[in-house]
Amino acid sequence: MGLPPLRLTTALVVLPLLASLGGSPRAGATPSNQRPTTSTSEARGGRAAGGPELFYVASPWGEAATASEIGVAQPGPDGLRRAQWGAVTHGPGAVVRGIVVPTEGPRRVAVVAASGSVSAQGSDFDAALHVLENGLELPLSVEGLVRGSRPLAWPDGSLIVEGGNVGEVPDSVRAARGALREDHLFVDAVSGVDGRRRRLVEARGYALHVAGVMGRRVVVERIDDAGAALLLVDVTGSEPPRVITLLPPFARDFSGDGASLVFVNRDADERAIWAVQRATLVGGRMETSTLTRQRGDAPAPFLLADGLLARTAPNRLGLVIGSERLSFGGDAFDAVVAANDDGTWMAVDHLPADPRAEEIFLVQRPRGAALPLRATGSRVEVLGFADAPGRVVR
Amino acid sequence: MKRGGLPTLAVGAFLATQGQAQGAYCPSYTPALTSGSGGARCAVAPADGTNPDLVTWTSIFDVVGDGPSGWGPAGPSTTAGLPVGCGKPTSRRVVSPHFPCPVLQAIAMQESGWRQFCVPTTPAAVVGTGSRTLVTFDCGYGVGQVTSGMRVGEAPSFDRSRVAADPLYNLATGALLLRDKWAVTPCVGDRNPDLVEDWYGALWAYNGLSYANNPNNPNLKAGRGVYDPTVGGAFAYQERVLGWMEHPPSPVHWVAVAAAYPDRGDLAAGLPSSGLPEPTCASPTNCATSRGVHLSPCAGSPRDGGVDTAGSVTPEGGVAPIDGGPLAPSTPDEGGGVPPFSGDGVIDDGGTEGEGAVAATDDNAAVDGGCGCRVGVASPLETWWPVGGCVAFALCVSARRRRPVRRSARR
Repeated sequence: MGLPPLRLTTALVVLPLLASLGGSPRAGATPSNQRPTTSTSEARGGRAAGGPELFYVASPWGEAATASEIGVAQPGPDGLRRAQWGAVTHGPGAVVRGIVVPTEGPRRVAVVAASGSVSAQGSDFDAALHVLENGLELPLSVEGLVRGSRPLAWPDGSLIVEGGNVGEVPDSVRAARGALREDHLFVDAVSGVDGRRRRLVEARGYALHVAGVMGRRVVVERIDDAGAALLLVDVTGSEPPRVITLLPPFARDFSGDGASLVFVNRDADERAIWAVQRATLVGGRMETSTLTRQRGDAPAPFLLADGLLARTAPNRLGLVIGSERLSFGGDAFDAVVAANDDGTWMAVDHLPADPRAEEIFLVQRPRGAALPLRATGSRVEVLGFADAPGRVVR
Repeated sequence: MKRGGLPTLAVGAFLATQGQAQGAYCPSYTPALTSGSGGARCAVAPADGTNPDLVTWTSIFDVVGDGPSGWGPAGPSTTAGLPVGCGKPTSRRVVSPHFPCPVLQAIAMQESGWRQFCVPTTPAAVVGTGSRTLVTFDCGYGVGQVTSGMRVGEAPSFDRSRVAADPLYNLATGALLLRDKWAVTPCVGDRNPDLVEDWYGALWAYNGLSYANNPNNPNLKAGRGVYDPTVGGAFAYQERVLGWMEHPPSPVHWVAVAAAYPDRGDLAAGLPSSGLPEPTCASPTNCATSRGVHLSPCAGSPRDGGVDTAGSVTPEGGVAPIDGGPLAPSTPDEGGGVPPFSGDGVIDDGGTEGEGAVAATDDNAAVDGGCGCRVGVASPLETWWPVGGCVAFALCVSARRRRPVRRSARR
């Protein structure tokens, strides 16, 4: 199927064509009511031919749904094929985020979702880890995790998760200074087999965010009243966590290639400037370089396999990759949220002002062909490509 | 307040309003049923009762919006005032507590779906009983989900039984707790309680001042827009409340307010001690498009000299007084500046056009029941006329925006 490169000027022409491609789910269909173009069993266990498989989780709109579907989408000669792979139950309206777990054996997906248990409702740490193998949930019990957080899969199959316990609300003096509640926070490594937990780092503060991987260590962003720092955490526990750099407490949207991390952060001095930065570990010390600066809105960056930087275009006018600007279905906040192993496919979250018009596009590089996931009626969170579990934004 | 709110309840209320829901989720924990949880132990029993109708609810919001001077013995008493002004340029002083109706209405929708009472669906021991106080496992009571002071061992200054039994008293208690948050958090803008946006920090604190509600939280989606309850997703608590404000369950509940958001670049790990500038962003993450701030449609009591509130949205999304000059502190005695606005304000999202005045004239007093807290509900025609009234009012005010008129309180 020869799809033309998608450019700003051709987007409106191409997209209706894409929608009419055979096998592409019809517009307006929800994951639960559309007919998959691959069988569920094939999706769960098979490794079908075609483009890379993208795993995602679709949660029905609103605040009442207590189940979300995990699906797999794959570009093929006839367009995008989608199928349900599994499902997860959770608390009402929960945000479900997760990852594909690298494994030689059966396919695995791990997601974190707010719990439906009464005792946990209402807390910032009311989420639980769910691990699914071939679409079926394993009987693990890992709770007390940060709501809306995304686990990180380690090559040995363990899962790195953020959790905590609610601390004391600041007294009036500290609150007047702008202080927040200080929680007891931790990052744990969890066995994907039996749920056994091992503490990697803990702190009292605002947040411990699992930002990514550098070499054989996990990078954790620590945020507290004093600011923010990146910690290097040894998963084996053979050496204590250590601070590798201090930074302004605005860093987010981390992605990397295993050797370096790219993220966006507010400029240390100028409040209106957001900088996309690349951090690399050199001789045990962090070296940071600024890739681009943008006034006003914070772009969402993503480091592609070929070393190019993808980022949200200024003024929410699509996506910039290198020096090229792409647009998918009109102006919106576009952000690359995952890419496959060789960087030829990426998942783009297309977020217009109206959240009902949000769409996930599978975009082929370098041609720019874009296939909409069309999970209308659902909030979609991308879990990652099966061939590149670690290449997701964090 | 309950930290996470009760989104299912909110949705349930919305659906119930639309006549689509049956048997919405309803916890009603008793002291006995919470005694063994190892956590909260609720101090008072749920009370039997039924919810006010929509007209009564809006009247309750109207009364509570006026603060203790409005609710009198119907609510808890307090001697605490409301600090206003942040030297930008309004000088700091203390006035009688009062609250923007949209803020109260949206909080209550987020917390309970405007339900003081419901027919219990959990825990199992109370299923089958009649309509009674909505009480969560962590002792969040009623429409305002009042949690503080509602546990065994706590000794609040308010009457806990009335929190459980009386919707107005419950909401008024929640409002006073919101006042407490307002009083201890850094300024937003010039700390004008009649601007809904200036409650941003208090709303954050109402949910426990947690980092999860920092708009820079990396676990919140990049580029997220305004929270839409019918879509859901990950948002900070205060973003949820502001999102409810913009997406009321129906026009009958309240007139939509497209609030402005602070620039998240102005924040720190927490709230900056120096305060936040007046919010101007079109969404939690989008400051490329601006919005103006919004005056409470039920602002209006004289309140100790009041605060300079009448203003119009500028092209930059800021606030300027109707005469176009800089905002200046004013007191009725001095006759300077613009007096407190008294109800029935026009809500406009400002957008990028720079239009959308927020102003008050004596002529607008006739719109009572349209843009204020009291929104009528009867026939379909009556249901929709307030919206039309607001539009007409907007057009009217737009034409008159450079003619500020001093007026007295509506209530």
